[in-house]
Amino acid sequence: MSLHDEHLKTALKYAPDKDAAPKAQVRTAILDYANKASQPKSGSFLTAYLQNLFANWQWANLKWIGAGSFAGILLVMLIMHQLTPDDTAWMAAAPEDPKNDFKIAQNKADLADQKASPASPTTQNIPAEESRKLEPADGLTKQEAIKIAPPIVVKKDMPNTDAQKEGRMKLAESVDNMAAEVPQIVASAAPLAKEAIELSDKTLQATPAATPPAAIEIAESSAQYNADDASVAEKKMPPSPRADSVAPARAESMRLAKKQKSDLKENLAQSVIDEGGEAFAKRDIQAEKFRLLSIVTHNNLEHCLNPIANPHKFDEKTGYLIEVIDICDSNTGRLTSEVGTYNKTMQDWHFSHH
Amino acid sequence: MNDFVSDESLMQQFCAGQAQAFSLLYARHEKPLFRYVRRVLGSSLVAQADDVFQDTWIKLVDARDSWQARENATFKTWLYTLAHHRAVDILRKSGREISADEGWLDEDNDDAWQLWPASSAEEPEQQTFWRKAGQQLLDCLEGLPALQRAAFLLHHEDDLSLIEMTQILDAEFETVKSRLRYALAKLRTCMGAYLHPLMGEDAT
Repeated sequence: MSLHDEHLKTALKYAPDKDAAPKAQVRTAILDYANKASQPKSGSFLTAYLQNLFANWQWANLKWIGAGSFAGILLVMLIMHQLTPDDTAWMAAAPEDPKNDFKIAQNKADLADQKASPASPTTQNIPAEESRKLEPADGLTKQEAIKIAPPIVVKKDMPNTDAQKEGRMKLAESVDNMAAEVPQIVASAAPLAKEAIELSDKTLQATPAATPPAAIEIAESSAQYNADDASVAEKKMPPSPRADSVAPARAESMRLAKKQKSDLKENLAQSVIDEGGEAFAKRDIQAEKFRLLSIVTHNNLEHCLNPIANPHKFDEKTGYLIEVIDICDSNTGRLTSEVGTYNKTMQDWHFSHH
Repeated sequence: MNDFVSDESLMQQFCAGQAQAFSLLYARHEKPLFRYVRRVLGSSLVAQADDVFQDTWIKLVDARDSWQARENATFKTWLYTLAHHRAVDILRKSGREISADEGWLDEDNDDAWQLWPASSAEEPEQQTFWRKAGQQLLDCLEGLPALQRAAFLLHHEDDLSLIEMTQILDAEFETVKSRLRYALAKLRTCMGAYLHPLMGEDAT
């Protein structure tokens, strides 16, 4: 028996209910229901978008996104940490300031003077000249130079030339080490320090073998001040967060900078003595450098190393600036005489021309 | 979209949010499915045909995500399965006999068709005959158990294969085959009884 009957099929095809259909409202209800079901459930485009987004993304993807975000934040924090401006960066950030230019020139001159032997007659004119040669160098402030300058340990009992050589060698080594360790600012400052060392070498070559008194003073004061190491300087200076090696270098440099100021005054005094008050005054007049000199003697070594800043004073008669010479030596007879001659020459010129 | 798009593609488009795809699907299967529901329920429960029909489509919309996971099932098979289960639920609640207990089977009644006109029904007179035969068939279907009726309707009205019927009726292949055989035997006998009076009318 076949399972398919064409006669029954034809009868079924012509059955009276062949055109039967559901009610119109049933049809409408079904189609509306399907239409609503095909729409986003929330009805909000943004919500639907987010739902679709998170439905398509796997949880692993979100994990990677989170890890990437964390790494990005970490990187930004690291960069911000590296870019955190310290006082060095702030000072280096304003090289175009004329005041900074003055400081740069003064600092370079100080560095040159520091390495030169102040008492040597052959070196009297070198600092100013050599400092002019250094001026075109990069814009490094005095504070920067102070920070980068490494400690110089000069032993009192060593011959002065050996002590200076050892100090210079350690200075060069320290500069190289710091250039490798300390970030970019130090590396950029290293050439200047080396330049100062080379200048010092030139000065040393011109210095007689005899022990210069000023060199002895540097060695003595350095030894006394530092107690043969940088511990005293570290106590006076705030600890540096960067490297332990930088703190003593900074302290030592600060001490040397102060000493340089004193030396500069002594250079002025020495120039007056060596050239003679009248000749020195005439040279200043020719250079249109009008001033009067005054002597202040310090018997205390601490005050000598850290002289109190003298306020600018002006002579009532001439109106000239009175420049103070701080002397760490009680024997000022010759200097007083020459300074008097200097002042008299300067005053005479003033009254003869005004 | 056009008529050449398969039911499965339209259903996928509907699952993707295109309501128009569902409209096409509904238009294709509206009348055949409604006829099936009406005939399975029978004249006594025809009033519930709309509810069963609507429930079927609502359930299809709600369960559209689960259909995506069933790759072996065609859309038509799934649609008729939902409709059949809902109709059987109504029949059971009404207390109607739905079992297909096979008892009497007369397989020798093919001789009756020898007196019937050809099944092509091209002539108007033949169409009249077949319309009356159709009404007689609907009456005969009323006397069949629901599962045999369903088997006959799925196979002759909706052209579903025996394999597809096993899925819709949730029965073994031989069981489906047996139900269909019993349905045919009963209907032929019933329709033969119709033919004799009809032939007698023609004779008169």
